[in-house]
Amino acid sequence: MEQVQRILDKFETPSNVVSRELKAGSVSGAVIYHPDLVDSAILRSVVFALEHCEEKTLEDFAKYVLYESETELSEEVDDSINSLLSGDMLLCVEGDDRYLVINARSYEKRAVTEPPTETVMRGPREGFIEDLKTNLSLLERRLKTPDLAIERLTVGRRTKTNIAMCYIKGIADPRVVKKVKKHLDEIDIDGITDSNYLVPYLEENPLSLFTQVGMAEKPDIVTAKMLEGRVAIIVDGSPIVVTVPFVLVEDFQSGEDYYQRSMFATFIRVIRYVGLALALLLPALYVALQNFHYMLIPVRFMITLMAAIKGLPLSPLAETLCVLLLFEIIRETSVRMPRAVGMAMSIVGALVLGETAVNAGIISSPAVMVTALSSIAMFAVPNMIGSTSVLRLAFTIMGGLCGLYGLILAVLFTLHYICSMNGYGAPYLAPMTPLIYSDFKDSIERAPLKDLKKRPKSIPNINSTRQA
Amino acid sequence: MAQSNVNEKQINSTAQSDKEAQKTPGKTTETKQSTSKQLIVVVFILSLATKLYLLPIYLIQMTGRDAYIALSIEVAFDLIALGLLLAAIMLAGDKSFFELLEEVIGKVGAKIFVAFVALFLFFKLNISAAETSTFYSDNVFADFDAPFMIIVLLIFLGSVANHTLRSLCRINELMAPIVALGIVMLIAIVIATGFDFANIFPAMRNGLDFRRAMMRNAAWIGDFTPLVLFIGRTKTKKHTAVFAAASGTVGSAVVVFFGIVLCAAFGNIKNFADSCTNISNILQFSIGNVYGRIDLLSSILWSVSAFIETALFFYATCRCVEYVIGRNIHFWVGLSLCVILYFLQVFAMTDPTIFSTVASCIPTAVMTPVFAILIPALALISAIVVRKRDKKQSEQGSENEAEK
Amino acid sequence: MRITERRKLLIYKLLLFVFAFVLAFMPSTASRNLEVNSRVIVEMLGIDGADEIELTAQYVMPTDTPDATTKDKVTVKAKSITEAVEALNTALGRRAELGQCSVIVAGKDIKPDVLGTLMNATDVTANVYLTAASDKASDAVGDITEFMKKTGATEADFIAYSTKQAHVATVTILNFLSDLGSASKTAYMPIIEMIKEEGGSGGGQSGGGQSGGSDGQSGGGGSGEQKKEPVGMKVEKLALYNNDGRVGELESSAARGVAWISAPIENGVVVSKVKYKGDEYDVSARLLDKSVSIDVLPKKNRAVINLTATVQPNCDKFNVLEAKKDKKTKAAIKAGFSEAIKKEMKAAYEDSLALGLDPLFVGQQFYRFEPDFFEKGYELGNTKVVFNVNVLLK
Repeated sequence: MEQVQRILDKFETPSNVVSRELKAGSVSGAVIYHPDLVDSAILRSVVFALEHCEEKTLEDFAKYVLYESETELSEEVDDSINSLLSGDMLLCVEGDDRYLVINARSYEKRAVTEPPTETVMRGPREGFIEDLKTNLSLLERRLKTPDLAIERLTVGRRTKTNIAMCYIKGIADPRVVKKVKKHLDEIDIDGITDSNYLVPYLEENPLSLFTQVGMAEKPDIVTAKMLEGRVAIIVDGSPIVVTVPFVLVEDFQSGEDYYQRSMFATFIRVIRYVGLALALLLPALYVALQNFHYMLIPVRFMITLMAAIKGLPLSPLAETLCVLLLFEIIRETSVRMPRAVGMAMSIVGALVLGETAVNAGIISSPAVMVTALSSIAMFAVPNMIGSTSVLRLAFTIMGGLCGLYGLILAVLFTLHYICSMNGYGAPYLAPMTPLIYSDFKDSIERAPLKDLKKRPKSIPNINSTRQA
Repeated sequence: MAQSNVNEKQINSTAQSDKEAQKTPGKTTETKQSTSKQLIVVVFILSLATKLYLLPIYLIQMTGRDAYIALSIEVAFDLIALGLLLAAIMLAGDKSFFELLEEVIGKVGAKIFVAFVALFLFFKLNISAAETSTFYSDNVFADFDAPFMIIVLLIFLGSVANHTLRSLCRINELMAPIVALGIVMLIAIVIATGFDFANIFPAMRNGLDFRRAMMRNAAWIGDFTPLVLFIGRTKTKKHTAVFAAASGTVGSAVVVFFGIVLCAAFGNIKNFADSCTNISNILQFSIGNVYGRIDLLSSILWSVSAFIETALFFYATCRCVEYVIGRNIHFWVGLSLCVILYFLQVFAMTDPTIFSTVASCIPTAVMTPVFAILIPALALISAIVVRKRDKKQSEQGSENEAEK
Repeated sequence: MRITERRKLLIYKLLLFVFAFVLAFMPSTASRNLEVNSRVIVEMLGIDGADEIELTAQYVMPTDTPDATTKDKVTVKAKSITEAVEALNTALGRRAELGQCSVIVAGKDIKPDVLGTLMNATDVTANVYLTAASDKASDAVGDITEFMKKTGATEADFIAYSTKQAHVATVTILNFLSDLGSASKTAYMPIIEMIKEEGGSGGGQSGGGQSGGSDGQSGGGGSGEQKKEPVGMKVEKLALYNNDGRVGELESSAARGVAWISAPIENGVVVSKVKYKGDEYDVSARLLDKSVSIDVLPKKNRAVINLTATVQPNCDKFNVLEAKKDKKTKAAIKAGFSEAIKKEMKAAYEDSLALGLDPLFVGQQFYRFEPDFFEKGYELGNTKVVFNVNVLLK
């Protein structure tokens, strides 16, 4: 059939696509499908239904025969091919140039499990997977409101990746939605294989060390974020959902905070802030005090320190930088390592490199201890590992070369830079600065849920009332 | 329409492009950049940042135990300037300092005046930067490599010039609790160590000698001058001025308190007061046992305010220069000022002799108080004149509409 | 000139590279002279000499033995205190870290202006504690070093005890100089004395298993002399100074009298004699709180020193006397404490008056609040001083 040939001509290897002529109702027709992407059971039932009906037109087939399936009429060959490549089957009949697109998608996808990066002791354990439809269903199950807006887009010239932009109408600020849509529409790229590809297009400072978009793998977290006025972007093929606007305190919040007692959750949040401060500043302070500010160290500790670092071949700064870099290498290799050898390499890293190097007098035990403590503290805020790793190196260099003077200036420089970030109208450091008292209930503190009556002012929204 | 939150203007305010701003000198991309709370905090920081370093020591060296009187008068002078500036901020509405001047004294007159303001601010910037370096070199470091360390400071200042007033206000707001913590710790140490405050008596045994000390150390007056950049750029509320004035008073009271502490310590031995024996040194709450030098740590926390004040002066200088030259080229102006500042600091101001000469010479003694009052006064007068003019115009406009 | 984003980025990268280059190759930053191991911690200084300064430093350093430190002393001589500090650096082979110094021992012949120079011209901070040696500071430092090696105590412990637990008038270098510069022109320092007993034959073996390395006294003559070893410290006397130097000493009772009035100490033990049913008892109490005020009355040419002390009696004798039940006994005990304290205060005043000094700072008080009278009519010794003591029992 001519309609079939039109489709097959577009393919480099037409043999990838299967076409089958049949008697559809009282007219001749053909179905075209990609055998790797269609569900054979759906295929069989559709063909059976078509061959055992009396209808003649594509509209009738859609209305009266294939009422169980999701169908759409397409006039464009390119659009039809896109659907074909997504796993739909095409039905064409003699005398009609159009194609009836029938949803017969079926491909292997993994089960909904707990995401490895966001494990919790209490709370839901469902996580997003790579399938857009499943992800949307996870979200829609939690937001049973007609105000849930899902705008679908296709991004990527070759991958034609399906993206869903989700927000709650009546809460999300329309200007934010408009801006996000504008950014997504402006993307002109070959292909999108993961949600991280969208991040540079959504951020206002893509070259910055600090992330300006939120990421979540769990539907309960994304739901909560959307209820605060954020826009969520789900990408087909990626389990990570991107949310904007983003403020820094989000990295200190965990889903589990809301499933624990409020006082304990507050305590844990404070620990995270302290952990970040330790992670960033401890090596720098250690080096700065050793090199420049002995009078700040209590005498007994100073004597212990002097005994520990006596005779080392490296200067304190070089020693600390070496240990920090060593740690980064160990961390990176442990992620890439096959599980079979991972345990052995951890032992090598910890015992051999750590203890043996100290015994050999190459590095000192205080340096190992400081770096270890800083590194462990870094994982108190796992979302900031990237920026923390780089910043602590920079601070250590400044502390080692310029003492507390340089360290304070480096911290001020960094904070000043962060203070200048203002994505989608949300100040990056809110509610700390600009000071928004009401938002403190859910930043450092985690107030009881019944006290969170208003949505956070840090995130632009048009309805600030959460509960009466 | 449901209630929108406080940040609705922020999305739009960032939309104005640099290209558009460069065409209209005096107008920038920066609209309402500071909140009321941030203004209050800035005032607090400006009131106490650098006055606690060398000023009390210089006053004590000249006038002994009456130094706190001279310090109080200088602080009161600054509070008057603060009052004038706060009134200008409240009355100016949406118009910036530059716009107000243009409307009152014309564009050329405004540029000439702002050029002098820029020079004054640059002078204050040098004093502030030199003082900070002196504090660190005399108290915190055994060896302080000034030519190198000042580069680090200039990098921070350069980044300040390239960003907006908003980010400067935010970092001010963020660091203020740390500064306050340092101050509180120092005050606690003073109280815990049981200071003999009666050593400031008897007062004025040397007659009005403190006047001379005050005049010769006038370089520290005018710390609130950068607030001119807040005119027209602050989201003021009903009681902003009151709270800001209170904040300035509290900061000034802290300065006078520590001035009294130093006077009590050195009242009998003024010749022994020098930059090594400032507020940090005399409160050594340590006998090397457990705590370490908590006093020095507290002073370092408080010194964050000095860096921020230096940044405010630098920012204000940059913006004034840009207004004078008629272009908003933050990067190049910032870079040029950094280079000039570097050479002045390294080759002049870090030398104690040159520093004290510059800080206490007659021209400084005369010009600083004049500018410290003249700038706020002119800002206030311009705000009042423009406000009356606008009111008159709007009344006339409404009368014309009523006639129609 | 408009600068594109790309060019701006290039300039930033270039500046960063230049900055990193400067950082890495600046001489002061590439050198290891700044590390803590390039320093020697000096915990105590002793200063002797009027014309030529003899500076003794007690220093502590880690040794090769893990977790062990050595504590020893070294003495240098120079014409001025700043030269002496430089000579100390040379003698130690490293720069002496004076910022951690907690005690300075002043020899008998030292001039006060040396301390002023030390405070201003070196890293010694203004709040370092001063003590006086009976004679030579270098001997005192040596003895203290030996004693502290034995006991493991540090100067910090000693100072902490003295200021918090004992009733000793301690003074810092800043306070000392300020007192000397005051209208009373008098200052004091506690005198540190070692309690010595005859030890084994010679051989100053320093504890901690390391060498002396000093020209100090830790090694004794090994020929069977009976060397007295320090077994304890006592701080009972006060040395009094005017601008010319040390003028005299106050004995224990008078020293305590000075502590009552001039020193902000609110700890220590008070003992009083109480007569009860024909017997005399020594009742002791712990001082909890005190407040002192000096009222000056120029018209009467008199100063009134008012002291209110809150004491907590030690219960043994207090219970024997059944003082809790008997008001009269209680009053007698209070009177006894009051009398004991007054006696010490009077001793302080009279003994120092004999030396022509004013460690109670009566003159200073007149100068502060009645400066005209002070300049015209005040004379030390001509002004009557009255002591009012009120004791509260807790």
